[in-house]
Amino acid sequence: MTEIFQQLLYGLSVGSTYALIALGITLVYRGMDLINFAQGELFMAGAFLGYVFHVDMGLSIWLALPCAMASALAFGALLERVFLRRIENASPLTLFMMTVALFILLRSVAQLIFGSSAYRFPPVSESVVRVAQMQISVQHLLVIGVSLLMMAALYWLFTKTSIGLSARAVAQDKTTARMMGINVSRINAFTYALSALLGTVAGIVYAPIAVLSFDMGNLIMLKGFTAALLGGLGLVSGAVFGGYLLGIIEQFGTLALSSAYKDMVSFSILLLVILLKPNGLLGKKVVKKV
Amino acid sequence: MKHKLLSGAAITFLLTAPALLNDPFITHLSIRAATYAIVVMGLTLFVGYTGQISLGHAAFFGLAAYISGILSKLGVPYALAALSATVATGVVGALVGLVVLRTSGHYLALASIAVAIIIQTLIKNAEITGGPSGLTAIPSPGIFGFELAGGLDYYYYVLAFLALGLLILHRIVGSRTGDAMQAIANNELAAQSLGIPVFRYKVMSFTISVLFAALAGTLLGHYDGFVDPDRLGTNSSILFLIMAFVGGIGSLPGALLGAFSLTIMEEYAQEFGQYNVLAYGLMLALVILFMPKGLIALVQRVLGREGK
Repeated sequence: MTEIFQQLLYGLSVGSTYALIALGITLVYRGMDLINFAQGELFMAGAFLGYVFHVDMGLSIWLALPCAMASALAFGALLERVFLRRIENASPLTLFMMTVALFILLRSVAQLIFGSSAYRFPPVSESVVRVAQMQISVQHLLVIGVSLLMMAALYWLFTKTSIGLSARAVAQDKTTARMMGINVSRINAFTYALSALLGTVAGIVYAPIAVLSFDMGNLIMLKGFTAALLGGLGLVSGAVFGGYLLGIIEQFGTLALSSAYKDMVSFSILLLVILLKPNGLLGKKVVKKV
Repeated sequence: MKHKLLSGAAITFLLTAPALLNDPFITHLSIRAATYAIVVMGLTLFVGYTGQISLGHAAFFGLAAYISGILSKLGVPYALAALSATVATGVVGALVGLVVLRTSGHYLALASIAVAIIIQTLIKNAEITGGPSGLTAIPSPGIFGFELAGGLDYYYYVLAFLALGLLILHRIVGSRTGDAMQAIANNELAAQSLGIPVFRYKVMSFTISVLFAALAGTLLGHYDGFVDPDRLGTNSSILFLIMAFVGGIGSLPGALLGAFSLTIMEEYAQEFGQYNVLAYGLMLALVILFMPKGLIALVQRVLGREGK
């Protein structure tokens, strides 16, 4: 029984990373009508940003995290301005290919700067708490805690602030939002910056329980998409729910299967969801009109 | 007139350049470029003309190379092995298409990655495929007693398939089927309401493009003599897509241009170490930003100016 709880906790902490990635994907999908293939690379870049502030510059993690978050916001807005603004009204296929280009660029630039070796991100705390025969590492609890905090902050941003409300208006109807005097391009930059920020937070909390390397983004991105689809693509609640669910399924699936097939678990889930419930577990059926 | 001039020049170049230069390295590059061009041509039909997306074509390319390699190592004659590998992969492609093409757009991109990774994982963990280190010592092809051991002979052999494929695709694109596919690319719902069986045409387009990838896979597998699971990865699939986009998405000559120019660029960029991947990304971003119709549009514009 304690073993099950222990695994559940691991599943939840990995799942909260997936949830953050899935949230980034969802925001960009809703706000910009764009599948962001570079979301995993924003995660990787963010983890390295954190590494530079924390390890290279020697800042404490509680100072390094806000520094990395601020840089991520600026970086995301810059990427949108340089690579996406010009083709704002291009076809979805073209926009998607641009994020593929960003995926390659971020990844290879990271490889040039940091090389191909794996880095170890020092955990905030190595201590272990014992609760009823369970050994719970504080780092895992921290991952869950920080993710929940981020979700609460997002909720506040999108319900209480004027830029958040404008972003929701753009997500609902671009043309009407523009007529209401909302600067859609600015909101796009805001949305992309926000998804870079989410990636960065996910990267910094996840890196200590894994290793840091230039190619860590690819798999996480696919997991994030699986999570977003599992909950229902475009739903904020779906992204969170899907992230946690996928983390738990994967944790228990890995126990049951050989580790060589570990990643196949999530991709089989991805295919099953696409085929059986394309609108996700929480989604409603959408009727397309000409 | 311009069009004929352009294709005439391209054909002459493809036929004579490697022979005139007669450099083993150039020939090697040309063989690889020509096999990639076959894949990219197939992708052009599916992505460019039908408006769909696939991030999994490398899996079919690699799967066919594996099947053909395993069969010939078991003693099956080359022609039969390559043919059955192509057909078998085509059947797999059709089945996959019947499943994943029920979705479209974003879902399709993700489903194609998932399928590719599943095929790759299965191959990596099987015994007969040589596992993670790959299948080695695939025999070179021989037909009717002639052995094609590489070099210029093999280049012309691949070029013959390239020409045949181009002809077939040209006929498809110009037919009613091609019109229907373009209608789907323009607006799927509108196409459906005009009575076009959208799903059937999508599966057809996908299967044809998989057959092209499979054929190219057998050609390169027997030429290289080995194939490993990396060949099937998402990175290779992305590379094919980049070739299609850089050349000019939705243009068959563009597919050739993209495959040849990027293969040559890749070989020379390798001298700069890790920069070659970076070059791909930059190239793709620049083409999308400043040349949305691809390099082929540039070539056409230059020729058009001379015409005046």
